[in-house]
Amino acid sequence: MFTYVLKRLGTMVLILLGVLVMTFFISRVLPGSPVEMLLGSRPTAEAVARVTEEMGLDRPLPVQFVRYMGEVIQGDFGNSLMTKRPVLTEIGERFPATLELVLCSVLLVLIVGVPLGVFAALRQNGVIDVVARSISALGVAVPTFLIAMMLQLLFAGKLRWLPLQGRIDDLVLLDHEFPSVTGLYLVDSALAGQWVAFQSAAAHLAMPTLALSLSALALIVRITRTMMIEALSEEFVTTLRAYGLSSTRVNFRYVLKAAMIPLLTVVGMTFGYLLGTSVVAEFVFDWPGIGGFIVRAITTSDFPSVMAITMLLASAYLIITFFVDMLHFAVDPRLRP
Amino acid sequence: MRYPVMMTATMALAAATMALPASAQDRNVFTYAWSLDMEDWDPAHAAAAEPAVLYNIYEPLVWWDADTEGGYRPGLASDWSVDDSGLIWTFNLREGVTFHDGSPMNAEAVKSSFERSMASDSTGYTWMGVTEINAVDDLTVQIVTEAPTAVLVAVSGTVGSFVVAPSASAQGEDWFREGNAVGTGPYTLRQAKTGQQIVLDRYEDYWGGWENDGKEIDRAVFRIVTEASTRVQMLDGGEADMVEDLPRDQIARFEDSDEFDVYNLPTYQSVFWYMNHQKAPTDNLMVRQAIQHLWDRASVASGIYAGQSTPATSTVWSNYPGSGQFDLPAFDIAKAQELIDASGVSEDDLKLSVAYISSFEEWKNICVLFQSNASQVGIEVDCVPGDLGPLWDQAQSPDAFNMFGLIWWPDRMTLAGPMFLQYHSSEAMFNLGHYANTAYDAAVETAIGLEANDPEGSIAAFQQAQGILVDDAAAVWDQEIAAMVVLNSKWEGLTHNPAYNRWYSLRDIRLAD
Amino acid sequence: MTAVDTSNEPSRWATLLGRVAGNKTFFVGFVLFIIVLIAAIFAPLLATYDPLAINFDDKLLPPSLTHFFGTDELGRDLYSRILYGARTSLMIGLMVTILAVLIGTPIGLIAGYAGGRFGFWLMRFTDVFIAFPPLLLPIAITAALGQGLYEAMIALSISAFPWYARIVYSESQRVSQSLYVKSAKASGFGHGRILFKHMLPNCWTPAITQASMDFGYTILAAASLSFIGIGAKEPDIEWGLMVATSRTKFLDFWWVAMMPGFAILITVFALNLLGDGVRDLLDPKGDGK
Repeated sequence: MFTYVLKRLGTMVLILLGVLVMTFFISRVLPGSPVEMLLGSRPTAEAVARVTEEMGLDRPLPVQFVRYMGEVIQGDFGNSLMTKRPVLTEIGERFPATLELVLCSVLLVLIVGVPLGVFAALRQNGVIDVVARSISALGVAVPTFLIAMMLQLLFAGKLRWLPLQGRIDDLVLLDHEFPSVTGLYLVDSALAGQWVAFQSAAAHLAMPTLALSLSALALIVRITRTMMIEALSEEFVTTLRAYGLSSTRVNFRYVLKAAMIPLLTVVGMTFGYLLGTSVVAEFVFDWPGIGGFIVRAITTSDFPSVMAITMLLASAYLIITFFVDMLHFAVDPRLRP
Repeated sequence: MRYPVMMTATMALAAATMALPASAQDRNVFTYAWSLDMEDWDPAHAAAAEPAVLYNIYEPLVWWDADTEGGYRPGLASDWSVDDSGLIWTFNLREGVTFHDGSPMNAEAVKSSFERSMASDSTGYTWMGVTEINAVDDLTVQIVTEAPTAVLVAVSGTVGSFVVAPSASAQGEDWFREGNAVGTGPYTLRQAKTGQQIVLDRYEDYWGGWENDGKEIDRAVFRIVTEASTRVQMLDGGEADMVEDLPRDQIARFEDSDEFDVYNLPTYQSVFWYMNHQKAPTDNLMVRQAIQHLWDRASVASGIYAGQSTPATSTVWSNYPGSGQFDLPAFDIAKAQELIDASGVSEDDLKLSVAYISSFEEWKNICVLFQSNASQVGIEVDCVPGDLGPLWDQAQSPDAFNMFGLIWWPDRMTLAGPMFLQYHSSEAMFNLGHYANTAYDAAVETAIGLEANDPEGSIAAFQQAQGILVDDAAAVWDQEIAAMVVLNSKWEGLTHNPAYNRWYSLRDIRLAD
Repeated sequence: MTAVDTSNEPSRWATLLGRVAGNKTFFVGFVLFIIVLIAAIFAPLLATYDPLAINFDDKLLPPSLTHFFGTDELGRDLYSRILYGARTSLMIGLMVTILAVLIGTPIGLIAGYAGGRFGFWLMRFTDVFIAFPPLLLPIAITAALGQGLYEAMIALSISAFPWYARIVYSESQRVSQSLYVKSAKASGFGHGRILFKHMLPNCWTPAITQASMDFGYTILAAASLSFIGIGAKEPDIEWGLMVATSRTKFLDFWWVAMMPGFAILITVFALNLLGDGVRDLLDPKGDGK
């Protein structure tokens, strides 16, 4: 077990290194030299020479890479060209917003998707199954931006129930301040007992969460259903039934448990999947997270920010996968190598 | 079956929201969905759209006002005079004015404010000819010039003319740029979040006083909303009280509605497209002329601006006092083809990059229209939308774009602003077409020199310079547009002074009866 | 030619055809896909207007008999644009998939065949490309390449190829251990011949299954890139871009956003059903129907 964890960790570090090489490579093939981007308008020859030397751009590529790696490990991603502030500060301020959105979506997906998948599998071709399959077929085909716009039109435009965009009503925030503990507005405002702020945060969260969840929900329903069907067809289920155990007990105690292990992988996948698609949802809802930030960074050629966010999200993704794998083996010792 | 569950959850949240902020209803909050953002909070540096916010916080010595005899009315200065030599200007300051930090507004404050601007590389130009500023006594300021200079133009403008508290000036530009401001104006800066929002609160001790009848704006919020669609939806959903730069196609809907008032306000605003004189193929005069003929300005006016603009007839603003009138090239594809053929530029090199600010919907459509027309003569057009700041930075390099779209309004009430900044060869920041013509430079310098003593000679020289620009096909002078503001009709009192473009005095906006 | 890949061929095809007829969802997907395909191929014939023709007199007209899907803010006919948009989207899906298969298959094949350290490192190399959440890698690559349809296609291919490499790798590992390949090695055939003549035909079924499943996702991802402003740009006729530029009109002129939006939805829906069907047919053991 221990050696396995070590091995797995080793691979992860290796891949992270690969990601680092890749972002380094991408940043060096970018049209327009990094010096020019840093200095902006009409730099003098001396300034260019100075910065070229400072950044080590006159050195061989491998030397540059080691330097780049050193900076990244120290958490120095440079300054955002858009806001002129350290990229890490920008990300630090925005990541909790993304995390809150993704966490809520994961929760929604699991709470709705898993039971739906289970019931669909239990009564194949029943009403629930048809609903589940329609959701999963349509859900993966609906572009996130389309569903987001439809929600906006309905809940903000026509019904005026929910705020159109943003994370919280900033005016509410002015009057009902709460300290930042976790960075998640829902949690922080609740901890501080600022219920007005909590309501505002929840209302702002509703549509982005819904829009972001739909396609992931489709995937989860589909996968849960398939796994349940497989688990149901296993021999031990038939055996247990033959022993006279109630079918509810069999279904939830044993079948779901058998399906649980692959499901863990799915939870990890969902997390990663949502981290990626959150970019579109954040863009539509003007959500102040890193997804919306990376889009703006690209359209404004803010390269340090793009690379830093790419690195960060890739790392987060890898770490999630790692933990899911570990959990996987903790749950089912048989799978250990 | 599960979908309804999600719906129910949404509804519950929605119901919770409707019972929202009770406390916010105690005071009048006014939200303005703003299409622009503060580039700089330092009043000595701000040279873009900032006055829209800053003139609620700061005030100038003198206001330009078309309705006043002579064009100027008192601001922080109650009166002013110039000596017989025409070199020394004296301003008497208003008594009893305080800054938001409680300190008194006095001659030292004015001196330190203006001196910071004089030293600034972005607004210093407004003080050209001014040699020194003296605090004669607590409430008297003297401005000394080396030659007769139009000083009133400088102190009533929108660049560098703000009077700032000495305590703030002493903190320096970094402090301002963190989002701080201390002025004498009717509103104080409560919060400044770049790219998000600016909150202004009423300054209770404002020297001009308040009615206190419960109808004045207590808190004004500038929400930075670059997406035009979002601005529309915010207005529609009641999240914004006032919106500017709406997609023109949607104005009619608000005009027909009782809930909103559409204001069509006269302005000095022109949209034009720099042509880069140092990047191929726009370094070629005939190519530039061809582009002018490919620009369907009549369709832009009727189809894209939906009648809210007119094709430009001047290189600046045709309605501006003293501006020259020109018969600018008309849309003519055949003529453009002839010019392209005669230019000798090979078809492979007929590729143009056209940069513009993405928050203006119309500009994207103008570019697509141009793209479509240009393709008929074999010119390939690449539309490059972006944020103003980064695009601007890139455009400083002559290699970046062939064309650059910009909207221009007066920085001060003089043609010297646009004509010097846009095309003078020594100007580094705004000359985005990298235009250089010594004859033009000379004409503009002459015009500026004559401004104070020989207004007519000055205007003649300005018009001569404009003629040079037209001959050189220096830019595509596209549209002159009116300001379209949609205000929720629960508010009234919106005013606009074209000299202070897009500044809507918050103090004058009130709840309707 | 050899025992492994031809012996059961006739019977397999017969079963395939039988399954096609019996699979309802596949049939629905197939019909929808054919409609999209016809739209794409015969766009010039079916279009009622030049998709790029600007006509301000006709701008923002609702769907009618003269403009089936209405017009956009430049008076361009949406029906005609959507037909041409089908070309763009199918072309993107096809090109990206082909490119990804072309890069991924040889890598997986060689890694599986060579095995050992070389194979291991080759696969770790491809793992780096999988280490990103979906959409993020294409976004980062487009940041470097710049905005554009072809740039987006390259970016999507680069982020899709590792999946093919992985699938082919596991197959080729298995096949390379088979008696049949071992005997080919023993007979002294060259590596190239073994790889492409003997191993490839036995590895490609799962790759094709994956490709058919990915097709819809690719189109969706490309539309998303265009939507956030880093994919297609004018004058490209692309559905995601059409939705993006209509965002300002959405409240009053629903058709400008909804028509291209639903075009994406229907196409991706059809392709997903089709992909599921192909998977069921080629790989009956795979997960559920």
